[in-house]
Amino acid sequence: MTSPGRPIDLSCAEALARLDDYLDREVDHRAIETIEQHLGCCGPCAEEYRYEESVVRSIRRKLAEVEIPDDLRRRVLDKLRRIDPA
Amino acid sequence: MATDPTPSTGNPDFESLLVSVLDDAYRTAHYLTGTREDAEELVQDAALLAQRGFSRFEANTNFRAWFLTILRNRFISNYRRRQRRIETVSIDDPGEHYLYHKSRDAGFPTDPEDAARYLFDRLDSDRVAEAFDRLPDEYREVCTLYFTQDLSYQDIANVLDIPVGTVRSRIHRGRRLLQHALWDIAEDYGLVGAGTDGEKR
Repeated sequence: MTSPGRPIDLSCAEALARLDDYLDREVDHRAIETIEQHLGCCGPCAEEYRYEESVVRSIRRKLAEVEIPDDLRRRVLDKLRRIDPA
Repeated sequence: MATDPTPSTGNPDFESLLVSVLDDAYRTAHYLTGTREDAEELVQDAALLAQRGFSRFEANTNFRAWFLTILRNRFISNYRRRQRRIETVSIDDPGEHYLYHKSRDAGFPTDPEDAARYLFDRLDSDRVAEAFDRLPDEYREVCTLYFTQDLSYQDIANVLDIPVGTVRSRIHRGRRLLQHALWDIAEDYGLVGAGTDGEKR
């Protein structure tokens, strides 16, 4: 899918295929520039990117809500000292 | 005279490194094992193994990745076999950005600052954990590390002892499977679908 006015060196399909790596900054500097140039002038791809980025952030936020047991640190260190004293 | 309630292991270098990763390690253990009790036991086991093997840790390298390697190996050897999965997500590839397309088709409103907020306001952390439980093991491990830890693909590859290309493909596919599972769960619990406020506007 291409549209007039978009960079000719990256189609929407190519941009979307690289979105996951771009989101994780697992692409090189040149690729970042190319993708950002595409997202800067392609509304549908930019919208899809913003949604995907929000999904990843939301999942991380939900997983971080898991309750850490009270005194986890103390109990772990206490067990280390009892079982394997330095 | 006040006393420090936190016991010392006698190895302050190890202790400070361990304490700095303990909460995040517990979160990873929680989503790997699926129970609070197993998660705490797994973290304690890994901490003991790490203390015993600390002389092999190379200074100025990534302690978080080193400790998670120990934790993951302990999980494989002692915990994974305990788990029983009742339901798993279909491994048919649901395609890229499944939730974006489903949410758009459903007419969900989009928050400009947090595009997926409408959906995730309806999915609490237990539902998200349930989606992780539906992933096949090889995807759940990678996704658990990816979503609970601030690690690069290379660090995750080191923890799991698999090629970085495999990590990349599992993260990409795991994210797609996870999104499919999240949508299925949202439907199963009636959180989205006919009559859900905000749809088909």
